[in-house]
Amino acid sequence: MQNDPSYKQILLVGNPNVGKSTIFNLLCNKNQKTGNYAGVTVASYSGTYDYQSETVEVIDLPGSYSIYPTSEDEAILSKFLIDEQQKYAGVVYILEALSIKRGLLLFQQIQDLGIPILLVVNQIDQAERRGVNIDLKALSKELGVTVLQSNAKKNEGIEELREEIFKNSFSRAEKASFEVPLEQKGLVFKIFSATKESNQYKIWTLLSSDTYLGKLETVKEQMNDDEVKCLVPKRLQTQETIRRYQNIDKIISRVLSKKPQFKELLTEKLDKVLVHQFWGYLIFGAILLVIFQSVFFLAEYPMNWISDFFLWMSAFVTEQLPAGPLNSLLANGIIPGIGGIMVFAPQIGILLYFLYLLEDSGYMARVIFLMDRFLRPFGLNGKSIVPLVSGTACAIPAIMSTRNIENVKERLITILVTPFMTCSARLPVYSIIIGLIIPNKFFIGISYKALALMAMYFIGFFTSLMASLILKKIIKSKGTSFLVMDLPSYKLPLFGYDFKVVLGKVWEFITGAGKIIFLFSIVIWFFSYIGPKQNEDDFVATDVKLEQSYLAKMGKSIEPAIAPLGYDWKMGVGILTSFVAREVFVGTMSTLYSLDEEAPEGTIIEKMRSDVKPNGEKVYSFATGISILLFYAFAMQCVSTLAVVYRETKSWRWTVVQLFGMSGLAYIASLIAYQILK
Amino acid sequence: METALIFQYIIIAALVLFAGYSLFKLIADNFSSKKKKKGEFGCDQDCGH
Repeated sequence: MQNDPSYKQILLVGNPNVGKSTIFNLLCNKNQKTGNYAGVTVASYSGTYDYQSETVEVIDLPGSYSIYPTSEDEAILSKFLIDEQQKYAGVVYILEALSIKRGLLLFQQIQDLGIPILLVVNQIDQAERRGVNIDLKALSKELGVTVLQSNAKKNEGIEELREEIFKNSFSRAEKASFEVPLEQKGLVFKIFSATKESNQYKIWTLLSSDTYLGKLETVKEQMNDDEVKCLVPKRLQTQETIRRYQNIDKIISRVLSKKPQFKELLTEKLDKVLVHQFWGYLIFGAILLVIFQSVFFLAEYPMNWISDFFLWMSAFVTEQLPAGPLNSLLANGIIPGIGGIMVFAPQIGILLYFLYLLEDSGYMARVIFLMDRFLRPFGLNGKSIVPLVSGTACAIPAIMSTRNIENVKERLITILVTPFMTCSARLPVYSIIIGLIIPNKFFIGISYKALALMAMYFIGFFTSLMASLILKKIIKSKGTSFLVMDLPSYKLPLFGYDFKVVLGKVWEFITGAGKIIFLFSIVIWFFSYIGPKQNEDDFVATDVKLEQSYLAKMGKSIEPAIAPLGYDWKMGVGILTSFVAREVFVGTMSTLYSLDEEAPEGTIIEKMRSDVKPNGEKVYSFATGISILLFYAFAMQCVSTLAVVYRETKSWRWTVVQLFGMSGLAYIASLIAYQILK
Repeated sequence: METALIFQYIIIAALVLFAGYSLFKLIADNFSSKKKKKGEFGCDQDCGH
């Protein structure tokens, strides 16, 4: 237990998708990612809040159905519960009212470990709507713990939870709910007597677990006993689960009453269509189209305002500061560079907002279900779908979410193919190139641009499928993991809450991408401001024309490698700088076109559109545009993703294979596309 | 050369060095593993501290 009375650490534990992260966000005022499907949290997250005289640190843990881990994310939970028992004051256990039976299994296991616990029954209103009534007083009496109710989505019950945490209402079970079976009782008691362990159930968990969960040195010696070696851990786990459920059934019969339901619920009605093997896919396609159309049309006005603001800033700085290198750095380097990428913040915000609304409503869980059925022929199934779907927002958390795939080889394949999914960082590149090469026309009310963007998403998706099909042949995996997930009931999304979360994400994008682009724009400006000396006495020439700068010299030196793809030296510089992050391409182009004195006045897109080669051809022709789109669809242009791949695979070999594999594919695809279309 | 201009070049040199170093650090930090401080709660490297 902790020594400082004004500081307390607590754990948030429960089954997957019961609302732990939502409660965590409300308690600590954080914006951690939540979703209406299982497996969103795969790592431990920490946050604090102050209540009356104490500071409480809350650790949000990945969801699990049992104390025995089957995957890396579940192992985090077991590690915390058993190894770190001395550090926290207690466990706040979240139980979903509609799946009370399943939730009580892990609850009782934690209780039997002698851990102080407090129970929160979440979403009780949903259960009532389905005619399920839970007697909370009786439940509290049966389990011997304080029971609270909450509706996290509506911020109900959070203050009461804070109060109970402050009052230390965590309680230990007086008597274990699980009794060690007679056949193993002697062995457990023998180990128990020979060690200093005070909890018999802990010894049982060590026997029943495939790995030494608690890493108890005192028990290790005893575990070499021949009697122990004969045990089959999985069989012990099954034995325990059956006995516990018999006990839980009895509890449920005393605390839960159910009225017969004759009316078909909305969820069932909607699911008949939304997960239909034909209509389901069609509706999903239509939803995607609406989102992509909105990305272009809803964002148009705010994008123009931001663009005008940065143009005004540039002009203002040019006028107000004395002429010189600092003026040029600010007006032609930093401001256009940052402005070039900030313009796309509304589009990213709109895309993420739609994705959050879909997740929040429960529809995303149906998409995962639909995809599972669709992906099986490609050999990518089961739990790989969740990372692929979440990769549409960002590959980094998506790769981390592969931690709930127990099969190591399947996990590796999923990690290697997830970066092909179209993440939001590709959106600025796609948006600007689509804006340059796709006409502003409509086909029965559907914009060509929205169709082109949707095509890019499908290209990313199908490439990840094809890559997995090939990788399955190279990395042979025994057995397959299956996706077992609840289809949550549909809920009206919390529009305001999701909007707040999206604002936070957009701000992260602005500060994250803005920081990199700020740094790059200084470096790019510097090498475009100086050039080879023109007089003997000079060290370097300053304030040179862009074409005579060192940057142009460097860019032109790589031109032979990129010219077959249809790129000029400016695009080459953009590709090199965007190795750090894809969106840097747009910031780089914005800075470069702003530095080009021969470029016409106007926005970045207008300057790019009117740029011509010496022979009068458009620089951004249809062939070049397609070539760039394909390059960014396939190339691994993200250092953070590479780093997370390395961290998750713990292998330089696979990280390098992925980098060169993706970049090689990008080069070949762009080359073929340009050579055919030019 | 004017003093003001020299002053501007000094600022720019400092900014360029800062930008170069920050970019290098940004890339290198991605691949370095975070060391856990003594006494820190056992949440992993993705912990939201």
